[in-house]
Amino acid sequence: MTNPFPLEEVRCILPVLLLFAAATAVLIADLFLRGWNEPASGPPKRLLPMLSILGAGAAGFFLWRDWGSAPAVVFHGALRADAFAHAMTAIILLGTLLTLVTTAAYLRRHGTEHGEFYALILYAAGGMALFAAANNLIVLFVSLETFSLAVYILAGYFRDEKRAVEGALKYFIMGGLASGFLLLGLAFLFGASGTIRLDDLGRSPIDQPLFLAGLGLSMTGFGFKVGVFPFHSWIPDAYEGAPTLVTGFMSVTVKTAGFAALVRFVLELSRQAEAGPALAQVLAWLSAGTMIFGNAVALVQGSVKRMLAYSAISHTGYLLIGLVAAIAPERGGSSAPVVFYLLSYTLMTFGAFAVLGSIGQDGPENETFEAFHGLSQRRPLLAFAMLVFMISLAGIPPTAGFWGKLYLFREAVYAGYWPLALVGILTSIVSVYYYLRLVVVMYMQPAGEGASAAPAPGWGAALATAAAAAAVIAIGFFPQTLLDQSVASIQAAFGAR
Amino acid sequence: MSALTAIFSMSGALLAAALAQAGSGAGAASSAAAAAEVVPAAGIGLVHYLVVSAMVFTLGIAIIIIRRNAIAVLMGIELLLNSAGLNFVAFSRYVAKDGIDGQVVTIFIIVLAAAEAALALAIILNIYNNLNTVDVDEADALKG
Repeated sequence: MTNPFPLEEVRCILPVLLLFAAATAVLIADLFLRGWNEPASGPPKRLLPMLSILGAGAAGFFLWRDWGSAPAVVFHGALRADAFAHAMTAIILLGTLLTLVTTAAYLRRHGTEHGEFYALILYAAGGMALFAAANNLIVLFVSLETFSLAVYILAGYFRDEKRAVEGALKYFIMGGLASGFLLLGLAFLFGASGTIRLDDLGRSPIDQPLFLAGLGLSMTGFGFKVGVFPFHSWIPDAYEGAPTLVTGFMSVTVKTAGFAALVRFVLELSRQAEAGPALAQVLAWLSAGTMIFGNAVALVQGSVKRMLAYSAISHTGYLLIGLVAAIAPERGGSSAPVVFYLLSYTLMTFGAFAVLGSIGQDGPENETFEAFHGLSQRRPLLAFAMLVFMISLAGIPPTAGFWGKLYLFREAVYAGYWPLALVGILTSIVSVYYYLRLVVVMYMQPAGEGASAAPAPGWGAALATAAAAAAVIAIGFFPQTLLDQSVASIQAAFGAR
Repeated sequence: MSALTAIFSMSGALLAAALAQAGSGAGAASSAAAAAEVVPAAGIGLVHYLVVSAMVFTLGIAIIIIRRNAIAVLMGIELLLNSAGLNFVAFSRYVAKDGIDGQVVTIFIIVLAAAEAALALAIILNIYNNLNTVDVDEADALKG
């Protein structure tokens, strides 16, 4: 009889276990500290963010130790610990660490620092890391719900604010709908093939109509989660309602985790001869629609937070290009640019939200373009960091965002989807308008009535913002190492694609 | 509103018909002996489960779209999850006969549906505390 719980395989999920353990430790520590933590910013309370940063850091250490190890299918096929899962977990951990470092001062400023905030961030990160490695339908669904439920709570974390609870409700309803579609799709895929393992789904004999129905339904579910154009409706509301730094966390890590599972799902299932070309065609249209819609609507936003939400939608469109290229029927490109792009997206988008969260208290009045008027005089460094993030989001060299877009478009052309690259380039040019509009008001407009107070950012926020900005520029000058890493991760995990 | 209901029952019927076809395709794909079991003598087979599940799913979607009460919407979401669970059990019985994978999935679905319901009720309670109503149309401050 085989060992039902092989202990040596635990090594492969050590980062996930550490994240969950740290989350639980934070919850328990919070219970003990609750009695004597007045005033709220006293030393005992500082323990909680430090404990969570320590947990995420330890997870990162064990991830680094396993970096480049051979792919391993563990726990009777439930998980696949390969280079791609490692790369995705690393990006998720980066987003988590940036969030944890930034939020302590932010929460204290809003008088809402509770231990469960850090615990929820860590539980969400653990669920996402598991999602990136999921190799059967049970793990896929359970980890999806693990991080989704945590993020629903985080979105409504400011529970006395009308727009926060409204955003959380809308996020929950659309997220529940997405789970329903995804789950029914997975049921059909199971019925069509008789297996719940993802790597077997692409190889076993299938019942074609049922398989295609399942594929369509599950892609709809994934589309909701990552914010593809016709399924995007929850994104602007949930992003605007949530606390600004939670929005940053959501927009980078949820998207990274969603794309991690989506890439694995699509690459495995498109091995079925009938599924690949149809899927490429549908994804190409969705990608073009998402790029056009996201950028067009972002143009007319009066709120910086909503503008960033629509920009997040448009970046989903760019990321889909990499998927299309990877499964293009004739000359398959590679989905490696997706990994590279997700890393640069994490740095620049979280950075932008961190600056937005630093210029004043949460509220509609501090999210307008007027609030940024003359920021370069009041907080020159903060304004400069925002400038870096904006030109990177717009895809202007020498930044990480430029190379990310370049690699994606190059892969599209290589795979024979040049119209998609063309749409990408044109919409990027459109996006320059709304990104640089923010830069113009920061540097060329005097501070007016609506200008934000721009208090001194805490050391955590300053550190995270500076690190993100420095990394965006550094990747802009030396992109090759990271691109090689992303290519290697995709090749080690999925073969040539 | 009645027009919406009509559209939904129609699309539900279409989905059920498509599934019936797909289900018989699945039966044909298996061996002859297995095909005999897909529609046993008693007359209840895989297709029947699929049709019921499709109806439940359609009702769930209809409830989410038509009902304005947040708790009713939550019930609609639960219906979606349960219809998928029903499918998993049926497929586990009729297609993947060697294992109990599908049934295990269903147990996980039940657990997660409970977790989701607990969370949703907490969010709805917050909505009630802030807006004094659980009507989802009243939560309309965010737009643009």
